[in-house]
Amino acid sequence: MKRLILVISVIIIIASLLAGCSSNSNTTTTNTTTSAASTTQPVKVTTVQVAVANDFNPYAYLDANGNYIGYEIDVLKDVDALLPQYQFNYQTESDQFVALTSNKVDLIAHEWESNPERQATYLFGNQLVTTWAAHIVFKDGRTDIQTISDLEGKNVMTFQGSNDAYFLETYNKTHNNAIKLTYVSSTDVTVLLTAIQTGTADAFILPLRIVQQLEDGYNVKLGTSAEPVYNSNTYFIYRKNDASETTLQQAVDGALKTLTDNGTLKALSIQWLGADYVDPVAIETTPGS
Amino acid sequence: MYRFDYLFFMHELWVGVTYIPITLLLSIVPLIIGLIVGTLFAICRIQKVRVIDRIIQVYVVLLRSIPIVLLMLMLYFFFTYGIDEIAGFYHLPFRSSQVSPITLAFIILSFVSVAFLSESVRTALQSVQKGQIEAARSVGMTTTTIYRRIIIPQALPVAIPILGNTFIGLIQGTALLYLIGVTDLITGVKIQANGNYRYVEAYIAAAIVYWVLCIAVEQGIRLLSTRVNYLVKG
Amino acid sequence: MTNISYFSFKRVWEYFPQLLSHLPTTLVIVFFALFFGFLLGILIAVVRLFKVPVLNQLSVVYISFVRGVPINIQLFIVYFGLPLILSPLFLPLGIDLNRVGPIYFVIATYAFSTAAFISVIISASIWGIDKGQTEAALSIGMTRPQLFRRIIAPQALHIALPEFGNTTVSTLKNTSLAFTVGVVDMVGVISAIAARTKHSLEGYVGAAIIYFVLCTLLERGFSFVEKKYRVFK
Repeated sequence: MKRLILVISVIIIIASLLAGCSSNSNTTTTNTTTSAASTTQPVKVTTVQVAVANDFNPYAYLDANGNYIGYEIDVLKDVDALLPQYQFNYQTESDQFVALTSNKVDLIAHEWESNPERQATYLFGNQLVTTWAAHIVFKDGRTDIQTISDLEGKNVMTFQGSNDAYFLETYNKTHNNAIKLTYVSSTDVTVLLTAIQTGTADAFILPLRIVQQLEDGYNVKLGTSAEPVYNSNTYFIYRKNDASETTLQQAVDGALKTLTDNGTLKALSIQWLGADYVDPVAIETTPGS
Repeated sequence: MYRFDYLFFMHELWVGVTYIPITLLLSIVPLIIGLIVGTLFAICRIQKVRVIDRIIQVYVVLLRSIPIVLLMLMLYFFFTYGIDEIAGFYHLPFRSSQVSPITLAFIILSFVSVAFLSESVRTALQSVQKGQIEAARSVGMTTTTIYRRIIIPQALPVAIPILGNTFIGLIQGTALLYLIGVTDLITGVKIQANGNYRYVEAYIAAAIVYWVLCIAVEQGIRLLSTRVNYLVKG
Repeated sequence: MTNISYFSFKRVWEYFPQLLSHLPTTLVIVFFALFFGFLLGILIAVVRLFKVPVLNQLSVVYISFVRGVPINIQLFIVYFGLPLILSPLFLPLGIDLNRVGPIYFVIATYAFSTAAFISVIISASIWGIDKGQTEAALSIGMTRPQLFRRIIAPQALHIALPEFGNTTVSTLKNTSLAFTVGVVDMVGVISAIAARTKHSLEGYVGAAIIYFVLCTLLERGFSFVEKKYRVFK
């Protein structure tokens, strides 16, 4: 009992400490970066911490020597080359959104799709990084799944915190939780594939280009829905309500626009992803509609 | 600066609490299986059953020196593929698809707990002085009687605190089950944060639920321990 | 599932050099976690043994937290939560805690956790010594430092040594979770390898073998020291 009282009192102390730092709000952190940028020299280089994956082939992963390579890495490097005022540093974060909120990084890149919930919390770039047409993926030979409503009553695996999870959850909200969701961590895609092959799960949602890559990489055959269940684009994401972040976002968007206009982005897409996935398509804003 | 969302935090605490039953189930079942099989293993080793005691020894050493996260992932793949291989080979009418991640979690944690508990039980059983056993034998007691009347009453008070530690270890092991697709406490609270990205609140809530759960278990074990001591010593 | 070759020893063999190249990261974490863990653990043990007011109660809460909360949640809280509380203290010193790499927080977490266990071991092994011995030593005119050096320390060390071994091994095993906050150590690199090769199981097997060898070496080392110690006693 004594112990419990102690525990509770410590929790209260920590809680009040947290309250203390939330009250002095967002003045302290922005100062450190902007004051560094606005000192006497005309071009002061600001270091930007960029969170990237290290196991997301072909977007961002490590080569055998431990260097970051991939489509997103190349795009970011080209953006960095166009922006003399910034110096990009890459690091792996297990939870990119948390890392962004807690100021550990300034820009996150992991083929992040835009959705209203995310838009409410984070600042999205305006220039797309790739397009993302998500199809339903299932074991080869199945014919019972084509549209989202076919998934009702089925076991669907989804990545914790991903946009397909958001899409499925949104659908479930208006359809009486008809789709049974199993959440997997993105640590190991083989867990997902194994579940599909053995029948533990019926389906998951991914763009065809990633399905193709899974088929080649793991030497499996998967079935996919003929039409995408939703279309979206992926963007780089920044912190909201942070002046230095808005400046960074505008600068990166400018550079991305240049790279889109001069064809670099398209070339990189063909090189890494096998086709042009940077041509914007009509977006269905409300998933499941 | 980060604004801590208390309302959401309280909500997450409650969500965490609703996952206590499944967390306890996921740790108690392996604990019981571990205790039963572990005791059998321990007796095999003490009685020096030929070949089997060597196999058990290798098993125990392997499972105790490999990190649980690696064991979990390896056993996950092993069972998923292994079940199908075996079932396919013997034409058995089941497939790994019928085995849910949660069943696999029970199996995997049981494997681990058997290894740890067989050692604990062995230590407890061997804590009884040799002289007593010899004395018991010299007055004509059978091995079963010796276990029942001499060894177990003395080993039990030694074993219970160790059992408590394994129990807590198992509760903490459940915090890794999300890696093999089990919706455990952490996944449960994280799902709630998927909309607003308040994972920090989610994790702190999860930590507190685990913390209070472990304190409760510890107190329970302490109570049990004094009871048993009292019963044994009369 | 026949079309997938989900396991091959050849790949385990191929992965070994890549896993081993990240072994130093694992060892660095273990070494510093143990080093700071021992220092902090001794401090906490002193607090507990002398029943320093306030600090003693705090240490009770601290130890129960470390025992009660799974280490992967602790890692997350230290990595993301600690800077939220402490960064106002560090900013005036010119350190932005948020820009400190994950490995430092990982080392801190394991050091905190090791410290709790070490402090329990130390205080338990000192409390375990018969009170009569202390009284006897004091009555024949030994000073307190002498009492500690000649009577208490040798016996306590004898009790504590195997427990230190266990703690060291479990710290080593626990570091396998550093990947959960993005440290690319031996386990963290497996998913990166799998991203290229599409095979992770062999990575887990390889890492398991390396951990097994390290643990066995450590255990052997500790039992060797224990035996040595017994001889000189």
